[in-house]
Amino acid sequence: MEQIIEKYKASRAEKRLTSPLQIKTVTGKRLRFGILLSLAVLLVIIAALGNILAPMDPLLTNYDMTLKPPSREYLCGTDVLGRDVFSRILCGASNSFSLSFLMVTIVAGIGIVLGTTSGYIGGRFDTVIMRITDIFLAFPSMVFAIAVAGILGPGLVNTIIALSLIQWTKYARMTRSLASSIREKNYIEQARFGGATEVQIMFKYVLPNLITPLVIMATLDIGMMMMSLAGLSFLGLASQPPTPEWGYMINESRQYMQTAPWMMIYPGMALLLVVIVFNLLGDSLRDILDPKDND
Amino acid sequence: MDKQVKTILKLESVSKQYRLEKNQNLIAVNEVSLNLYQGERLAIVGESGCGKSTLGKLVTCIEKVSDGKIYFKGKDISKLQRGQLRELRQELQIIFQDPFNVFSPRMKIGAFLNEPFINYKKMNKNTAREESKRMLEAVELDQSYLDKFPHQLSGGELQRVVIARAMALNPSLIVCDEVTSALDVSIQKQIIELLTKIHQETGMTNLFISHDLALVQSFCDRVVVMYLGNIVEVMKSDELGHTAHHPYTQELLNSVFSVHGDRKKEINVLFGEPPSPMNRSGGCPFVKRCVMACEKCLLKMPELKKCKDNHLIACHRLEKCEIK
Repeated sequence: MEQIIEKYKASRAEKRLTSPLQIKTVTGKRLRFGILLSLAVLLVIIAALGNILAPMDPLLTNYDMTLKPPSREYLCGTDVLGRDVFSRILCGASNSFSLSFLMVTIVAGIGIVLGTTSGYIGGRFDTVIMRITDIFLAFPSMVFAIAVAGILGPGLVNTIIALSLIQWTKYARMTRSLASSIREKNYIEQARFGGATEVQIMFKYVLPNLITPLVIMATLDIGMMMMSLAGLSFLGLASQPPTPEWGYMINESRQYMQTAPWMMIYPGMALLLVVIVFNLLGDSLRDILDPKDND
Repeated sequence: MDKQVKTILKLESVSKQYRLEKNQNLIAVNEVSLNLYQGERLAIVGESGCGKSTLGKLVTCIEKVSDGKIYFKGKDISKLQRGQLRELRQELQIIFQDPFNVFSPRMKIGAFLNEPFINYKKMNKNTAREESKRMLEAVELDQSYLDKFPHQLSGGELQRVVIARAMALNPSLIVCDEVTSALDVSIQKQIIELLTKIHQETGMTNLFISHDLALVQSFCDRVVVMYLGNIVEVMKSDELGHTAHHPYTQELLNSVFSVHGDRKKEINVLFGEPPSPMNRSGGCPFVKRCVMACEKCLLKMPELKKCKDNHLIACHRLEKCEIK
């Protein structure tokens, strides 16, 4: 009898290990994440090496070749000043995309550090930090950016300062609410009985348990940041001509939408591609980071 | 218990109040005095809201006492600083009620078990892992569990891991706060067997908080019955069935279901609700539900008095364990 039970158990265990469905879902998820991550890395590399990869000088004007459609020489056509759109997109990548990447990192970093400490420590410290975020949240980010541009003058650096000043509050708020709910969990108390100090608890218990939604938020935010930068450039506040920047390029092409649509389509597609890749990466990161699904 | 035996934990009229609003205080634990002897398994029973879990939290310094003193091995532990508290917890561990809540979902079992060794004993990861393996063996789990996440384990397995960690530093006192109430009945028995085994091997002192009288009777040496933050009766657990005298204890015993019970027999339900712990009257807390209540019970709070050897009771109507 016992042998039969043992055999049954063994066969059950085997089945569990080799169930084709499970392996498929796990590797499928990993595969998806891998592909998206390599795509994202590729985009980062392109953005970093944009100036080297560009076949032509993005600032070189050529009045003989204005508004030419895409050809072998000009892969994405030329703009109204005869500049190569393809080169401008490549060089613009380092502006729009690396900057938003950097910005999200800084902003999320500040927000997470402040939010975690304020949520976990609580009390007066928490109140002070949260009132400060309230003050910053009261400004609409676009209006604030316009105001900063008005005071400090338009330009990419000023816009970034303006956007960062507003954006960190989002992370601080979210982290703070997550941290203060984690603080009440029994496992925090249990950690104290294991001899963990408060700093250890913050790093080993609080942070790992709140980081998932924040990483996802940050990944999704890269797209958002690019859009706001593009929006501000479109308004003429961020990058100034002749700097190649995607939002500004789209703005420039408005008047030629019907005669030279390539001027708008290609930078638009580049923007779309990057935003989509990072959104999907955020999604797949959520799947990967959930330990419950990685059996 | 003989009086020669060392007292490990001594509570001196310990009270805990929570301030709700301006003039409203919730008295969760009211002037409780208690001795716990080395190697003893002491049970605290009572219905929900009677302050038994709060008492457990006070003993383990999770909550600070409002009044009174707690002595652990002769040292007052009721007003410790954070650093001292950390040292104390090597010797004083707690096992929480719900094993599903005490694990960080992102931490593997191995890391969870390593923690006390690394934090207190300053071991490196590898030796801590060896120790953790040993602890897992002690609670009858194999070492493959070290690399699992908490959600992959069942409630019973998780509770075993929690016990293993509580035992890791060989503490002198473990507070078990309803350790079995979140588990299936069959698993409950395994956990109790495990705790009994550990007790026999290490002789560790145990403060066992529970509402399950049958379980308490088979596992513990002494029973403390609490009602609304007060101790109403203290006795040896093997006498629980036949020498419990306090009307509240009687009612608790009546409410235990038995497999051998008669279905036709009427089920006795204790009438009334426990009064709110917020506004206490001066009298005996149980007076409104007591079948023996008299005028004196309404006016004066009964004291905990010795009525027999190893038997304390707080009731005006009972003296020398007989109804006056």
